[in-house]
Amino acid sequence: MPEYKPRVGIYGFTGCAGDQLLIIHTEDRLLDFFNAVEMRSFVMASSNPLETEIDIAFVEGSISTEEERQHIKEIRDRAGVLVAIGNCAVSGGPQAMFAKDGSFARRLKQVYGDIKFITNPVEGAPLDEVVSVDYYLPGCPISQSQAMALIARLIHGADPEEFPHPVCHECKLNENLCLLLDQKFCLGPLTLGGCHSACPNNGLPCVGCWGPNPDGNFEEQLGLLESFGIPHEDIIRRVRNFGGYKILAHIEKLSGKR
Amino acid sequence: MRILKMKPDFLKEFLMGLEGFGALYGPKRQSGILKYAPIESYDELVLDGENTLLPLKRLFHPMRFDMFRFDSRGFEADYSIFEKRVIIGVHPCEIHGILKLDEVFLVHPPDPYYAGLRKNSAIIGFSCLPAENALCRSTGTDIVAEGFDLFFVDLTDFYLVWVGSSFGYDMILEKEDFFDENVTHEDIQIYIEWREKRNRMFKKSFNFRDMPDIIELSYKSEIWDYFGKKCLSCGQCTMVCPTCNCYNVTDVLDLATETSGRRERMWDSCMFADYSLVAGGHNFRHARADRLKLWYTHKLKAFAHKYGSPACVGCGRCVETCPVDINVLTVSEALTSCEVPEE
Repeated sequence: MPEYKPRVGIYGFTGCAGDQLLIIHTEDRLLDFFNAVEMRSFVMASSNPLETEIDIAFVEGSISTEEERQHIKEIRDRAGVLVAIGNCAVSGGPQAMFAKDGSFARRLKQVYGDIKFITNPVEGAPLDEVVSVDYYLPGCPISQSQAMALIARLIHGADPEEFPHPVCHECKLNENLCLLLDQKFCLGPLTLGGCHSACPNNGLPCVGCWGPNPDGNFEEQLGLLESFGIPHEDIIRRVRNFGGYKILAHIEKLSGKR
Repeated sequence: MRILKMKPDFLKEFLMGLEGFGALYGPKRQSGILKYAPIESYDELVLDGENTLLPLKRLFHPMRFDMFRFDSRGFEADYSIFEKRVIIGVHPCEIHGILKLDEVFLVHPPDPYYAGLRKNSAIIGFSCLPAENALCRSTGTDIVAEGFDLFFVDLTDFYLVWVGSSFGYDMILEKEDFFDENVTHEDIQIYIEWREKRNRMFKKSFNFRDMPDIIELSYKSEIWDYFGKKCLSCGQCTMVCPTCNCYNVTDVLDLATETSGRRERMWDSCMFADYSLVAGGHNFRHARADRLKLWYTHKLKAFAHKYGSPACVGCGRCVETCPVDINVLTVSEALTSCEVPEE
């Protein structure tokens, strides 16, 4: 009897497609991956997808149109396990930086004017605003090592391991001086790690592109940044750049206290 | 223990000549950061009192490495990290830090990775003058009696060189002419004056000796909530602490087969939310205050119960590193002044 291979689909919604591209760029392991699964749908790699029942769906991008809302529901219905990959799918991405602030209709009109859309735009949202998500793989883009570790676990029927640590973890292992000590506008402690602290390695503060670290001490970090003379509004704008829907709970909790 | 004298003129030739005993490592500045790293030329070595960003443990307890590969037949340990090394410029607090890690990693059964790195490394200690945040006088780790192969005390006109092992003595024999066995009364007087001068240079101190009792009394103190509210849970304090030794292991499966893969080991921190997470989603120390209390209780009290003395070696790195000023100084001061009745 031939060995059963999990049926896999890789999908992209609104985003830069960088996460799918990263999977394709994992050249030394791509053949192992494609051999270990039955790849049903991966439009970036092959234009002949087979849209059937699948065991695992990897989904990149945020949901930004009515058509995408229907499509992700349809994928969810036929996928055993659904994994959100990349910040747009996990948190909403930069397109969700004004999420739920009530300005969507105005902004849409300002940018596009009075045109007829092929499909109705909706405010960019992470996947879990529309469907249930089983696993999250944050990143902007996702890291090759984390992606391959997660994929290997899932295709062999094991639970993936999370890495719920701030950027500071890897930043310190890379022997960087803490930028907060220099009163720099760094979001490292508030941001999920896994990026190998790419920006601080080059002296640049973390801008939070991997999305919020759920354990981040938002209130204290805001107070610290404000004590550097950074205006409150600038901090909120910065955390919302990549924080999407997932930073809103932190902000709401804070405004409840103020 | 033998103690010899050496003229400063010989230092460069002697240290660089140690290459025959192993690859030279020492504090070296890279992109403005002082790190323990391979030394290619004498000029790279920084032998003053400045702390490296990460302590010496990084050379014995690697931050991230593969322990072994496994498949359906078993596993094969990966000891490719072993290398003969001579580590130069190690300060007393660092040596005390490694002696503490020995207590943890070399007891039965020893950690083979730590033990192998330790066995293959010689330590050439160097005296230092107290840096701004040095607390080693408070913790009693400003002098060393063991844990080195050679230890150089810089007395400006000459070095006093403590020979701490037979391996250290082999190094001396390589360049026997550089060393003078005749330590005079006058030399001893110069050494004592240097010690006194150094002791007067410490700017900061804390109540190290009383901390075990005070921490025990402060178990329910609201001081922990105060620090818990401030803590960013960035984990930097544990990374820079010479005696923090927690790590996590993760099995990274191969894509091709479900029975093979590698086991990766990486420094962990009790400041992270998932550190005390157990099966069923229970977390014993979800609150930041509880995480901090665990760290300080372990560092300043509980370690002593198990190994004889507390685990702080007074390097001052937590004082220099924490962005919100939670460190052995602020915590011990707060616990001492607020929890113990005022005089």
